[in-house]
Amino acid sequence: MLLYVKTAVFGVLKNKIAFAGAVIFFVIVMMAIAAPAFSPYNYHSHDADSIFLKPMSKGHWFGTDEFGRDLFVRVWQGARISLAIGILAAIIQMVIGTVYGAMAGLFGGLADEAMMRLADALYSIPDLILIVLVTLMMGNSCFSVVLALSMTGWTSTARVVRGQTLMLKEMDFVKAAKVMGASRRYIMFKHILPNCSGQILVSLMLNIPSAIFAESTLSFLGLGIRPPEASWGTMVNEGFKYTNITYHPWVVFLPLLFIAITMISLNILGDEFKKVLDSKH
Amino acid sequence: MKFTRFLLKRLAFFLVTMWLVVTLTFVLIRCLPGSPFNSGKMVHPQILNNLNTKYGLDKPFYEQYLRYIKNLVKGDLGISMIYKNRSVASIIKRAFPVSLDLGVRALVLAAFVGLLLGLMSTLYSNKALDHIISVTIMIAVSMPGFVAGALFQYFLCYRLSVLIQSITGVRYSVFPNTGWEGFRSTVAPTMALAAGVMGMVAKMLRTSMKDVLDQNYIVMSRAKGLNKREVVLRHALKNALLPLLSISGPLVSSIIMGSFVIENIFSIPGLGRYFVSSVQDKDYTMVLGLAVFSVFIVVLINTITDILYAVVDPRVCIESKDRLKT
Repeated sequence: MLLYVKTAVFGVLKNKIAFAGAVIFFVIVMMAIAAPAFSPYNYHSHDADSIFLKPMSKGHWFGTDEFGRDLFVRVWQGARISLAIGILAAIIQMVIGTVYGAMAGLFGGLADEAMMRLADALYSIPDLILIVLVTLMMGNSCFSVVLALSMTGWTSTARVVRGQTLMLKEMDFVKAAKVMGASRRYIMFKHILPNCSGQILVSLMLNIPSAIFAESTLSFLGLGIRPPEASWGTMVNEGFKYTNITYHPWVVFLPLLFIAITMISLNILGDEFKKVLDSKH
Repeated sequence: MKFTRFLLKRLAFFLVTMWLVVTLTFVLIRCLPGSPFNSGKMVHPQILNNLNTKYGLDKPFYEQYLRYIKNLVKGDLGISMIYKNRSVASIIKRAFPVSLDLGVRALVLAAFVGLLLGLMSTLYSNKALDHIISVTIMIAVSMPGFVAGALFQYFLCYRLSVLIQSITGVRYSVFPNTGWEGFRSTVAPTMALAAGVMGMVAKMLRTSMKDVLDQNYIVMSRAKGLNKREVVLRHALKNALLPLLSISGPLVSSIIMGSFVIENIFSIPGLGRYFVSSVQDKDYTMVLGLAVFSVFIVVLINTITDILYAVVDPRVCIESKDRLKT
């Protein structure tokens, strides 16, 4: 399994554009970890003496916003929250989707039918509405946003894993294991899931950007992470509310720029993973 | 015969999904902490009681649920808790045409430009134009709706009028940055909403074109001496469009969700604006009504496109079990 994933990763990194995407994403993650820790400013302190400083002004690389908060720190603090929520939600989605899909595929018959219908029904509901309802109920903490995202985003992974399981179930080595008396659980964890690992990895890679997408949209609408916490979506929302983008465009466009860069690099990576795996089959 | 069975199955699925949604939203909303009438002000208990009676909140849970379902079937979504004495249905009746207008404009634009881009990139594959198009697609697909919204508003509404002012000296905004009156105000929001879906359409067409062009009948027609343009337009396009129909459900869904964002950026009085404000106001009946209505539209369109797909490509009736897999 590890070897398989390793070859896939190397196959992807051989592509120049995908490699660039990986490097950019890595830099963003590193900056998100390091920048707020080493900056003399913090993301929530107001400074009435230096409001709306332009980018590249002294001491403030990205300038400041309407409260004089340093945007460089805020952008990377926002990156921390947005990335953490996106990655965490994608991992939880992966776990739920994998177990659900593999179970549906292994049980087969009526159980499979019922489980997949349920997943289809969930899939056909726009996720934003469900997420809003859940966060409305649970409050607007990071935790509730992650929970809401994980509840809705797992269906595509479940579908892929179920399809793969149905295929693998009919293969000789699985049948042999069954004949030798292996339990369902053993077959699932030792035979089915390792052979799905490629597909699972791809759907993880595709789920991260869509989770970031959903979180930032939610926060942009003012229904997600609440100020003073800062995610990229919240920053754009605040920028729209409190500044005139004709005069101070950077307050809005800096976080936007980083959302766009992150999404593009992740999407390129995901697409490339998919291509490499498809060409292997 | 097979088709009727498929049709019935699809309709049953539609009803089950709707029931699931209604129940889920109802339970979620009723589990909410706090009451919509507790706004921090001191309210006389008798008034509170009367309000609860008016909205049926004093009844047991299951009775509220049954009443809600019964009213729902009749198309009655209840009364808003914030806009006093206005029914949710009447608000939807006012706001939905605006959202529909925006959505249809964006969908038409996205389909047209997306198909055009997809076709161009196929016809000029591996040439400069193809690379430019694939970069455009990548950017369009990756950007969340509000990024596109902000960009279009900034450049098309603000920058353009600043530019005009600096050249002619007259203050004139070609595209107003907010509102929904007259054609000029619709341009920027429509383009912003269409951008993402346009990317999805173009990407899908590009991929499915690649698959179709590998097939034997295409190789055959090329071998017969037809030129590429002829083959692509006459033989490949029809088959390449099929997978597009299968993602039209998600496309419409993303248009509707996208319009929620765009309406908030451009202050367009559609469903999305009401949805967001009602969530912030904890207007339960309104949130519930708007959520159920939006989901109803999405699921209805999903069902219709699935049936359309079956009409166009009868194979799905037979293998409908595996169709939803991919």
